[in-house]
Amino acid sequence: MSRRKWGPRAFFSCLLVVLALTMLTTASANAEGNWRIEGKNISESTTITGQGEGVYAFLVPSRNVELVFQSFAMDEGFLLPNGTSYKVFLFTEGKVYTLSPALEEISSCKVGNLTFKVKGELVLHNGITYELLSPAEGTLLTTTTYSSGTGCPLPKTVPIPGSLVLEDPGGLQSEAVSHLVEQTPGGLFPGHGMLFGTHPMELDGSFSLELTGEHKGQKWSGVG
Amino acid sequence: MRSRLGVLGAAMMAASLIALVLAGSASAKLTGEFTRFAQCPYTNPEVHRCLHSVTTGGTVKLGSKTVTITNPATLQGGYQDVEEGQFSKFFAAKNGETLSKAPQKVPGGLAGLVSCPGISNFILRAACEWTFENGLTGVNSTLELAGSSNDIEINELNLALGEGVTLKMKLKVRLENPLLGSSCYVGTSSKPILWELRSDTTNPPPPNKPITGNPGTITFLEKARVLRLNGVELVDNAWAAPATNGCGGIFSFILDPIVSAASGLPSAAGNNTAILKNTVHTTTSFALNQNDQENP
Repeated sequence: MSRRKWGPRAFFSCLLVVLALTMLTTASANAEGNWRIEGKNISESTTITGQGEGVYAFLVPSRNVELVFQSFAMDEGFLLPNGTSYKVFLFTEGKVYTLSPALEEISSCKVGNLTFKVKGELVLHNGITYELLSPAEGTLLTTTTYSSGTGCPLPKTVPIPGSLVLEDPGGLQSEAVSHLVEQTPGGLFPGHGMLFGTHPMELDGSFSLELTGEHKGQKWSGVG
Repeated sequence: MRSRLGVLGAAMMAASLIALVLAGSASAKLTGEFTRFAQCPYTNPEVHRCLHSVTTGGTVKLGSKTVTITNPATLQGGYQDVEEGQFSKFFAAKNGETLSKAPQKVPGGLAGLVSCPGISNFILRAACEWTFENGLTGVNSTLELAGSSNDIEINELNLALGEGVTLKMKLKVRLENPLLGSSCYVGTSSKPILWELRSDTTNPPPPNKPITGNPGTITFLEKARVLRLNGVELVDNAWAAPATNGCGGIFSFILDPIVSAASGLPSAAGNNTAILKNTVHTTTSFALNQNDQENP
């Protein structure tokens, strides 16, 4: 009788141990992620640069606005050991559009440049490596500003909290001189994603990342 | 002499011209969607933006009475640009009707507030019975601002995004019926009802539970110079309501306790609820002045 009672208990105890071990293994797998140059893990900070590819549209369907920027630059970027990074994105030459009933420029609103100061972390999910970007300081990725005194009906400033998940459709884990990255639609998990205040905001656009400095022109990858 | 007359004539002509120009400017007309902002003091350089909000439905539970909003009430005026997260100073509507008086029927009417046989004072009991005999049993409740329009506070960012407290208002509720007299109120200027309306989720004290409003949908009008928010539901269920005052005029010392008791007043925070369904329009003084100049 007592054996019967202990049978399920032992089974669930083992199951718990297995689950705990699995979680630890997953966590350690994430922690073991790293940037690689020519197949070797980096052991010190490496500089990286970004180039724009087309225009960048930040869409906020629930507020019926779209911010479109003509220019992108990443003047400052570092790949750091342990699969982390620090990057500064700058989006310039922005305009504001309505989404509905038609895509139409709100000429009375001039949107200021967007500066994102973010820290990155390689994340392995379903066998694919992504980079999760979150604010380097505080809770805001950036703040959008709109011209006042020009008839713009939008608030003067709108904070952009949240996070941003980048993916390389060609594979961030594959060695390449240049990685063309874009935002993973919807993020990876609930809670990921940029917010226009409290409203989901998606970035439509991609940019290429390359090593600079002493590693310029070399192949690199990120393995979560 | 001739030259003096000439100078005088020229001065008079100039004065007439200036007067004409000023008159033209004064009679400038707003057009299209801008017309709804006619009462906004947009020529005041301190006013940067204008609000026109019409409450078309909803309910207000005050003590034990729940009033359904059937007559639209309009809140209008101007406000300033402020830094993120701050509340703007509000400016009264030009015609003084910052919050329009929109009477709403109190369910149960006078019978739900007063029982004539229960009134001990003979004169008041007679007045009460006369009121019922003449069928004057309907009671209206009207929201009024308690104090100045400048006491209204608006957070434009929260309004546009639908997060946090959007509108703070000090209010009093006027109860109208011949028996109750002309100054029967819940709340006074010195002890008002304080509403902190929001379109996200409230955090009231018990027994009320959190309720969630609606930030509405945005449409841009007039070449995107007017922002319309449709279906905005502003809510607050964390406010307190004081007892009635001034009901029955000189007999208020008798009627106030009766009406308060029948209405469940005073009512502590967590027992009252405001749910307001609105259509909100905002624009800028710049756009309104521009529209003025385009249509002299």
